[in-house]
Amino acid sequence: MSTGCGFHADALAEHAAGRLDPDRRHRLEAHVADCEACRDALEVMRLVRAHPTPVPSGLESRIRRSVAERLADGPVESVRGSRARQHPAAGGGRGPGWRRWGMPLAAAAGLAVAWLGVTEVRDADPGPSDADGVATVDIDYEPYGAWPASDGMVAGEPLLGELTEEELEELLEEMES
Amino acid sequence: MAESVVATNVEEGALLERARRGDAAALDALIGRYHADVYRVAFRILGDPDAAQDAAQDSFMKALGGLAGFREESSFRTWLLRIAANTARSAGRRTTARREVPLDPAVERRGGPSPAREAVLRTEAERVDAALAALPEKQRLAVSLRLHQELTHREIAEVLDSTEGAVRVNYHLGIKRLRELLT
Repeated sequence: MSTGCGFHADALAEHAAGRLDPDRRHRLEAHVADCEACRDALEVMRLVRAHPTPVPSGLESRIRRSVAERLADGPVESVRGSRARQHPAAGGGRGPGWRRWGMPLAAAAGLAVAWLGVTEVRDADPGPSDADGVATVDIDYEPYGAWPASDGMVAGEPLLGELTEEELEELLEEMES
Repeated sequence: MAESVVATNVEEGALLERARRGDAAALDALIGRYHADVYRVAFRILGDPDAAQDAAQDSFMKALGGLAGFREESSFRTWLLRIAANTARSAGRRTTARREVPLDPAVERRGGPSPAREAVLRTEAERVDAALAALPEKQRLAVSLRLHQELTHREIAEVLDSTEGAVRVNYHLGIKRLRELLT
């Protein structure tokens, strides 16, 4: 009988998709047989997977038609040659304001640094970052092989199933700030 | 990386190259491959089939315009779905009225259930749809993208301009709430 459930959401999702190898599948099934929370979660995942949003008929041909019409108007302007942002999809976290003020602010900062006579910059390792220079967290998360420790922590990451909804909301707020 | 994944990536790379040159057949292939995913993301944000169709069409037009600048740092699918999410959010309209829309036979997943089974499935589908609609947007999208589009948490984070950690938490919360609604 299990003494605590790590709510292995990843493993359950993989199991619902039929992608676990036999050894992990057997271990998870043994756990699920004993854990109502995971049994319910697995049922929910299977139910959701079984009912993807239906796609309206005719949508594909509608999109093809509009693309064909656009191509018939002439070559599509390259983003590089246009005033459009280089990342037209990256509209989420960085709005036009950031780009409008970025260069002037950077120039002002450069002048301020020169004025203060600061000539050395601390060479701290900022850690991994994505193409935009935003720090990323590389979580190596393997719930199948991980077992809960007495404090509920596994490799520095709290087992989500151990947290209350309030704690989860706080964690989310922290991550998104 | 599995051979099949490498082969698919190479094949898609060739498709994208042709699409950049305005090859209609390549563009059609990409539309065929991804129109359903794009629509589903838009629908999960907008909640209205008409608005989602408009957003899906707009997303492909934007992708067409941005294709030359797409640097393939993420997969094309992730990039396209991110456009879809941003386009749908910009559209920002959400209605409670949902029309019955005829299904596209090409994306139907079952081959001819009995009428009784069909009735059960329709009810079950409606339950799932209603339960997903009841979730906060971030949870709804995390669950839908994970279970329907089978994206990894990292890919979902890219689509939603979020972090992997936040996606995991939202997914976890979403499943918890769905358990309350569906079981």
